[in-house]
Amino acid sequence: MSMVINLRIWRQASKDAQGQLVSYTMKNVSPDISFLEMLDQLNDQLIKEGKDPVAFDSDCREGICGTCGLVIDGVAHGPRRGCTTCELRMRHYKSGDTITIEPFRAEGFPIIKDLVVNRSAFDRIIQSGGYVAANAGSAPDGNAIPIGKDIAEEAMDAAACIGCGACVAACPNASASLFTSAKISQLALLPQGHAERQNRVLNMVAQMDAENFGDCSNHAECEAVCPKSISIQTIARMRREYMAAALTKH
Amino acid sequence: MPHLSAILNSSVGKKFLQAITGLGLFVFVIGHLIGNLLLLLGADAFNHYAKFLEELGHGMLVPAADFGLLMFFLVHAVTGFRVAVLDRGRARPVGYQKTGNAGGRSRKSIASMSMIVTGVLLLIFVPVHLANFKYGAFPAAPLGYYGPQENQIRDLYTVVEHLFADPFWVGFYVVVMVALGFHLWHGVWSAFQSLGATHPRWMPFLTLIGHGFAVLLAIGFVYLPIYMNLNQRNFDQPAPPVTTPAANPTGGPQ
Amino acid sequence: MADKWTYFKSHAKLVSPANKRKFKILVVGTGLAGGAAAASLGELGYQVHCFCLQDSARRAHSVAAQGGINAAKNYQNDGDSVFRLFYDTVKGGDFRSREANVYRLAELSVNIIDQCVAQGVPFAREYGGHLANRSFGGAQVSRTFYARGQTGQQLLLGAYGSLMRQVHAKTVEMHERHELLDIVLVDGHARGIICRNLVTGEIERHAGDAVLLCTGGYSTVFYLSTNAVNCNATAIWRAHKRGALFANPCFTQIHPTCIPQLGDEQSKLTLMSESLRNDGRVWVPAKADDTRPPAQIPEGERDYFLERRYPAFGNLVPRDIASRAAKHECDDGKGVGPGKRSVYLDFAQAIVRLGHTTVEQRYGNLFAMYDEITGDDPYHTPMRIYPAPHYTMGGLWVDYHLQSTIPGLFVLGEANFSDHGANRLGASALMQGLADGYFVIPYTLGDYLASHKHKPVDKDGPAFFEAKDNVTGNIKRLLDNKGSRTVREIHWDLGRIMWNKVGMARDEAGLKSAIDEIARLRDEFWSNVKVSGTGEQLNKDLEFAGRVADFLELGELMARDALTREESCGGHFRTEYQTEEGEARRQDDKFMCAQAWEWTGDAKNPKLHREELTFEEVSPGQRSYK
Ligand SMILES: Cc1cc2nc3c(=O)[nH]c(=O)nc-3n(C[C@H](O)[C@H](O)[C@H](O)COP(=O)(O)OP(=O)(O)OC[C@H]3O[C@@H](n4cnc5c(N)ncnc54)[C@H](O)[C@@H]3O)c2cc1C
Ligand code: HEM
Ligand code: HEM
Ligand code: SF4
Ligand code: F3S
Ligand code: FES
Repeated sequence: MSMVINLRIWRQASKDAQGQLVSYTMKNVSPDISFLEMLDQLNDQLIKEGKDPVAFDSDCREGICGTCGLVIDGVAHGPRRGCTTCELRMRHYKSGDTITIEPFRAEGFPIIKDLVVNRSAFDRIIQSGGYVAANAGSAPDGNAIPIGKDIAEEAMDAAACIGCGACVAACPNASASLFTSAKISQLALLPQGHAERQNRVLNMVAQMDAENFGDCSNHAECEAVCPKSISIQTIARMRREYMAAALTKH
Repeated sequence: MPHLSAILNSSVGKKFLQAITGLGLFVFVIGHLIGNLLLLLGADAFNHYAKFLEELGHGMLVPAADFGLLMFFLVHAVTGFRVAVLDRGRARPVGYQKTGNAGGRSRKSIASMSMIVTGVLLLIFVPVHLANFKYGAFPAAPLGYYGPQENQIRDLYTVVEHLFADPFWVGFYVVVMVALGFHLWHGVWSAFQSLGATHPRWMPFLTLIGHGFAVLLAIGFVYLPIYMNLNQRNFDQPAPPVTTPAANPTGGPQ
Repeated sequence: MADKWTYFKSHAKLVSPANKRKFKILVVGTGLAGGAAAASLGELGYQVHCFCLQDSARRAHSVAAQGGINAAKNYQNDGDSVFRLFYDTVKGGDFRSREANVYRLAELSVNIIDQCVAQGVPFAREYGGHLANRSFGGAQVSRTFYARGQTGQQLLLGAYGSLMRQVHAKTVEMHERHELLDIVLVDGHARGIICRNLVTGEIERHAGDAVLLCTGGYSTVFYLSTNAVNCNATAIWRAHKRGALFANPCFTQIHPTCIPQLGDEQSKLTLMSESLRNDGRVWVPAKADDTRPPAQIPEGERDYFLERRYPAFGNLVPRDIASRAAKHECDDGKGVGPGKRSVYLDFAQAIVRLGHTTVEQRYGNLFAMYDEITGDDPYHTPMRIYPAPHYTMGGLWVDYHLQSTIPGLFVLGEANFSDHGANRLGASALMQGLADGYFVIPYTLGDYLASHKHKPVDKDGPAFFEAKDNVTGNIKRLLDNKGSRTVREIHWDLGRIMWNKVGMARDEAGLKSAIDEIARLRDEFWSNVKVSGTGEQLNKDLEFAGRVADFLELGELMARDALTREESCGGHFRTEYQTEEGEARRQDDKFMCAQAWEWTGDAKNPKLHREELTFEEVSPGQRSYK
């Protein structure tokens, strides 16, 4: 039971090169394979034909590292909710389907080649404060500060972010609010994060803005595509934290 | 201590402004609709209401509120333009060839995607509206006065009535009022989210209220022009209470 | 032995704070080991340069660890202690690890949890607010700390946060999308590395005072494994070729609970966390060739083979044992699913006992993942699982200081061979990576730097250009090869050889033929591989080609190591050496050692060195989980 799949893939040789959608047809796609394995198969075909294979990023291929990420038919990470591109299986398509694949598009994520983008802006946002400053060796006993299960769970919900960038790709404004707020929320909820709470939110928001991401108009498209279903409630929390810090910080 | 302008120009600050001003306008619009509904009760009720408003706070309240509204309106419009046009354009200079909707928990909708369109419509609407009603620029609607000399009443009712006798204006208002409904469909709950005033528990409720208000306001505002158009008095017979004013206190056109 | 680490710490030579700034340390890898090391060295004030393959340090493969991390906290009051964790780990490793290293690991496990909590890692908590634990294979106490099914991710993000903080403080400079392709030795010491910038293709030279390899494991030599597709042996292999001994390459761990292979285009296998065995029961139909759907097989006709064979540990026996037992059942024709190469992992009773909600809380994301991949809902039908290559205990040989046989070249985390012997217990790799990075290397590296007089090196020295030419030559050779087979096809072929002959069960004939087949495949690779594109751009095909070339040499060494080790121990099972009941039989009189291999310039002729192991605290017995 194999399928014929028509692909339209964004090909762009380098950051500043002119790109375009190129069509390919795959004649022999098994419904059991993953979306990226289908691209592997396409690439083998292209290599044998002496053509340049399609560059795309992936690593863990099980939805946790956040390396993969394609915009499939206009939706970041494709049609399934709560899953990454690498988790998407071809069984959700039928023979004869045409699939358009584009890279994440945002000024903050410049294209490197084809479907590969540079997401180092996210690293810089974290550098600006997305951590608890705790030098190795300086920690008190793990049970010294009890943290209620509910709080721990809520912090974990936010901490689950894999940094894939789909939120930016999906956001009509190319805003990085969901990513940024997820980290801010995790550390605002946990007592360990409180010492640096005000600086953290002010600096991280400033860095997010400096990276040329857009503002958040509350479309919540980000929450829908987020493979870890991070809620836009984290964005609300970031705003509360921000205004509180802005108004009360010395 | 972070600088105020840095705060208000940050992505969070901009939305904070947008939300505060949006909510302010929202509250005005609610009050305005309630007041305007007096049109349904006839000329006297409506005109007396307008008079009552005018005299509030020794006649200072309306100008003060107008000034506040104007500021809100301008800030709201400018920030809206920055968010939805300038920043969006900068953040995604090259768009997608194919766009889609994720569905699921997304709140992306025609309403949310067209905030700037509905907003600009309102931006065009309000000056026209003020010109019509406040400054009587619409020639077919002579602003008359009646009542005792020392306590004159502006006959706004007739102005409104005249305007809506014209199907063009009815159509214009209906379009704008529907746009307002769309604007508020996304706008109301969104403003709370922008202020960070949401919580998983009351979010569904908040959304419901927001959508409810949007629909009610739209219905109310759409209903008025249509009602006025369908229930015209016969203008060929001059309306009895209208008198020519001895003096024109507002300095408006005769 | 128990005091060895304390003694070392108080006697180690120190580098003064003002001098630390003068030392440049090259850290390769940003997993738990590399991330933790780079961050802590940065905190100490060293000038750190840190490299990784991915576009961000946060994506190192440690991120994928699901189950948890062990620590001898004894918060459960169930009799745990540093000694017990040490003992379990040595025994779990089938007495093929170095006692002192393991003891240190157990000792440091306690600090790791504290450190991670302080960083804001959201570990699971009890209602009262204290840290929660779960049990894991190979232990009778509950000492595994976890953050849902994403423990590795959370620990890594903790280390990554610390690393980013140091980047901000300018003590660490990150080099993402860089691949190490050679090590530079000056006067016999590791003094630099050659990297390819994966975006521009530029071959870069970096000089430093010490090199830390934290580049993870090499399970991807099997092509299909639970590891990420970019995992590789390249860094340690090139170091090996520069003189570092490679120890116990054949010690690989085959994980029992993976989703079975679905087809020939598959690129990797997905692990289902071992924690599932806490509540899930493993079974096959009692009769061979039973094709009824699982629901129609009555209780009496099911064989819960782990519970039957190992009553004391039941479904929680160590991985090597569980994997072999599953293979054994499948070899007997009792396997289920397509090709009969899988066994059931059943939650029906757990759902009745604990309720749907509790099961969902514990395993919800794993169940969802299984459903997404297979299209089956594990709440209603048992999961199907089969073993898959998962972890490599082998790696570069290191001493107690984590220093390889090349002075100044330190190896941390899965890339070294040090702590797990012939089999690693669940939840102890994360522990090792973090122990190495946060708590061991800051001391041992300082000791090394303080006790050697270093001449400054310049990246324009001849050794750097020699290494660079070596790398450029290699790349050119790959690109100039105008063959007809793709890199992936050849990698697949290698994987099949490795899985069939150097996999879960090995024997002399199979290993010998594997050695021949791999050598032939290597020749085919170099004469018939086709690598597309150029070297001056992002070229994934070229990256993979280089890695597969290394696997084709390493694979042979693994087979040779397995052939030489004429015994069964831990994950290394030679069918010639088993007890009557089919359990591994060690040959302690001959192989109580680590086998460390030296590169002689030819993959066919590696030279064997042995480090004899002595056991002072524990006496090696037959490992029993019955
Ligand atoms: C699916 C899965 C689940 C697991 N679950 C658990 C668990 O529950 N508990 C547990 O204790 N252990 C678990 N493990 C094992 C554990 O995750 C790993 O052993 C451990 O994380 C390895 O960490 P590391 O820092 O040594 O290497 P990695 O995290 O693999 O990091 C390697 C780093 O080196 C870099 N690198 C590699 N090669 C090069 C090169 N040539 N040039 C430059 N950089 C390079 C990579 O970019 C990366 O940054 C699991 C493993 C897998 C695969
Ligand atoms: C009576 C008039 C108006 C009312 C009641 C109103 C109300 C609102 C409200 C409540 C919001 C939600 C704020 C938020 O999300 O934080 C909003 C958003 C918005 N308004 Fe208005 N508005 C009005 C007029 C205008 C005008 C004239 C414009 C101008 C151009 C405009 C443009 C926008 C835009 C673009 C947004 C979306 C901002 C974003 O993307 O986040 N609005 N409005
Ligand atoms: C059917 C719909 C409407 C009717 C019949 C109506 C009617 C009127 C009238 C009669 C006035 C004159 C008040 C005076 O001069 O004292 C007025 C003023 C005004 N209207 Fe409306 N209006 C309508 C909709 C709207 C909407 C949707 C908005 C906003 C977006 C709006 C904004 C205003 C403003 C800002 C003023 C000036 C207020 C003041 O100066 O007191 N109106 N309107
Ligand atoms: S918030 Fe969600 S979509 Fe955004 S980076 Fe994190 S995981 Fe990806
Ligand atoms: S989609 Fe964009 S507008 Fe806000 S809620 Fe999400 S960031
Ligand atoms: S490749 Fe890791 S999340 Fe997709």
